[in-house]
Amino acid sequence: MLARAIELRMAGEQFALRLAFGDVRLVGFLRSAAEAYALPPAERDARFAQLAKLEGIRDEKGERIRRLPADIARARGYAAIAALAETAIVPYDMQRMYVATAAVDPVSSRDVRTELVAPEPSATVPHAIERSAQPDAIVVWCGNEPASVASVIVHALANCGVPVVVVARDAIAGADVHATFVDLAAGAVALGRARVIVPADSSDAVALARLGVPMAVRWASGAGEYVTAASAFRSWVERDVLPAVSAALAAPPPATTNVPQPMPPLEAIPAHGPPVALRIGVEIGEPIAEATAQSVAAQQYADVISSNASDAVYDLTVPNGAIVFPDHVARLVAVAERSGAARVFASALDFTTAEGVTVEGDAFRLERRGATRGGVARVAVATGLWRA
Amino acid sequence: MSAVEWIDTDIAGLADALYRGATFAREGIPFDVRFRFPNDRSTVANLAARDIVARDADPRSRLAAFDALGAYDARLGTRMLEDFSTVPMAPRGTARDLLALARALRVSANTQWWRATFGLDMPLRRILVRPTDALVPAPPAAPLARGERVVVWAPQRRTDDLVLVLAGVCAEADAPVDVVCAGGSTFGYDVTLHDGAAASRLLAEAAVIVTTEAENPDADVALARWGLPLCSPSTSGANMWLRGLTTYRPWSRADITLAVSIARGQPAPSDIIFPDVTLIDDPEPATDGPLVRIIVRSDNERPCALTSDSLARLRYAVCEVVVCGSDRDAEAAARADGAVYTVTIEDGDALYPASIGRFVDALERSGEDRARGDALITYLAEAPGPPMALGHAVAGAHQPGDAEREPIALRTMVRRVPLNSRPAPLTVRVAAVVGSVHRFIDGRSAFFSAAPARADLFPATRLSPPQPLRA
Repeated sequence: MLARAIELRMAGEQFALRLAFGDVRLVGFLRSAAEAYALPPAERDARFAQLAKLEGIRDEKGERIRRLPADIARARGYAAIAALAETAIVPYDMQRMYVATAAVDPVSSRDVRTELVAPEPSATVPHAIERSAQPDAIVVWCGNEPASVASVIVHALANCGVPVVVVARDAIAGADVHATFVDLAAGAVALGRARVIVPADSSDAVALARLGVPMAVRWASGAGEYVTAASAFRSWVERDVLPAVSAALAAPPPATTNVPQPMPPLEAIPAHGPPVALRIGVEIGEPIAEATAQSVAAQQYADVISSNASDAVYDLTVPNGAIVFPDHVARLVAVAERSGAARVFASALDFTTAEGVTVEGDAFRLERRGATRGGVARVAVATGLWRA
Repeated sequence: MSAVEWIDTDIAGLADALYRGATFAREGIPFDVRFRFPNDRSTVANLAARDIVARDADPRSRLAAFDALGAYDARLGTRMLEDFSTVPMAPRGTARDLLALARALRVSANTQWWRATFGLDMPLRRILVRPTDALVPAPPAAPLARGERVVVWAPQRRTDDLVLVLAGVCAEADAPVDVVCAGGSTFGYDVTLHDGAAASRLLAEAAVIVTTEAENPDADVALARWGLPLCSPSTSGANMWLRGLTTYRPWSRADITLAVSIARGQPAPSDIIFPDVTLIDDPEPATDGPLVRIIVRSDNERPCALTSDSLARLRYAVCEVVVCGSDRDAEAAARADGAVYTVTIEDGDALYPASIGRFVDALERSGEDRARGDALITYLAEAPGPPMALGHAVAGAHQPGDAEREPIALRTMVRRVPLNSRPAPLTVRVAAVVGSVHRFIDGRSAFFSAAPARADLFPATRLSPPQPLRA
């Protein structure tokens, strides 16, 4: 994805990025819950009781789970992509906006810009179903996801007295699992039996709401943003599940609402403006890197002039070895013009660090000629690659 | 839908708010709660920053200490900064009880909802209301040219709460910095402090506005009308309402510096026209339907006033009340023909006006045999004259794993007569507090979260005329 993002920017394209993160706090927790089903039933219950106390935020010793090195590395990757994107995160819902922002938090030196779009109804959900005359089941809809994502729900509903049907691409492995597992092909029939549906995410919820069956939704899925009369449970808190499902059994059918406006098109960056004197910064005797020269020559900004020209308004130096995107000059000038700042900085991606890719702040600098004050402004997105 | 009241409270006012909420519930008036759960991390980081400036008079040498506070794995002593909580357990419990009684949490950003859900450890319904802030002056009719000043907006806060913002804004700004605040020290930073009277003039000369409220987006949305670049704490939730906002993590000095410089080069944020986001869609509870028999277990000839008044105010019209002096009589009444549903309560319990309608709806919709709702427990102590109410707590009907919140047995449960013959019948849940019950504290420790030792706080629960709740 990072390579694709760089490719787009090298082609002079702007882009918005949608990162659809899953349910918060759940990554390791669901794995543990799924593994618990491999235990004999008696031990399994004890394990679930233990997991219920940990609630996904504490380890086996009760200590708070810290971010792992792998999380930090992943966060660096997210932050790098976010630094290249015009609008870094376009989540389905407010929950995911929050989760996605938190995902880059350990390494990001600034918060992620966010936009909101409505969930598109999931294509895996049938448009219509034939309702059974006597619906009898709680249907947990996982769509194409593995059934393990519903482990906590299945365990919480194990003895509720109502049959549980899980629509997923596989089944939870283990003895004495109190649920029936069917794949998507049998999904419509399963939904026909539903007294309550538990959707996987907001896209599923919006699509499933059309069926007129009461719903219990995962609180952090964001489905509650779009579906009325749905009871909510935190999917990492087992004790939430039964109250939510039993409240949904007594609830009226849901309706969808609350579709936000679509995002407006991205604003074009002016390609003309005050003249900019551009030079490549080289030491004496040092050859100019070909990649740097090519990227400078490919600038979209039309008013780049000789570095010695006296009528330039701005001076801009590109470090030798860096690659700048075609909109590099145009972005720096746009920010300088808008802000009136004396100096404008932009960041770059750096692949040469020990940590992997990082966002190098203040890698590029544009200066207003003769300015003695006016302060500092920064471009919101990275405009090149540091040390090619 | 009945008219909805609402209660606005902070932590200090929670006990009084719970009393008001209990009164609304008893009267059958739905209400929402506005309770801003604090942003713990920024609150603690600012307290720590205050200590840093007290120890170190040099603004430049403070930077390293501030930046350590902003690290994702920052610690204070041996504890992670993100582990600190600024809300003690007792008010936390009171807030849980209040929100259990309420229809929904009223928020102006989903970040508030998120914080409250995690802080109170319960999934909450929310009503989203558009932010407003009366302290922000109206902008001039004509569009403004950008000025040169950095304006920090904190009209209700003293600079003691703004140390990190001042450090962040002043780290590299060579533009004049004006702080609209409620006074305080400059802590050695090159800033000018103003009160709110100067707000219009300062905003008209601003290059960028820095807002400081980490817990709500009210000022951000109001200030966006000035058409100037804005940077705002990410925890405020203002990016839900404004497009093109630059945000900073309020515990990070470096973020603040960066955000101010990025915002300067950005267009002014524009409003996101958010649709109607009031997702609460509760149908009115039934007022008519199958006959419900309400069995009152009482050792007295008549139930006490609290119970009988509550029965008189039930909105469900098709009820009959049977007062039974013994368990055997109560069981016989529960089995007797005629009623479709029965509920058994104790003398001293009160059913809320909409409760029976909610139960009937739940049972009719689900076809199940049993429905339960939550109850408000009032803890009582013996006192001269009528018993003294010491506090309230909401007991969940389905919280068996929670030792402090034991389930309320039959007293808030309605049953079908006769029960269907299902192998393992499910008890459906009415997602509301449906009544109040009373419990004596007789020397043993008992959990109650409101815990006010003020006899005047719950005057309405003193039983009048005096009636023993126990024989």
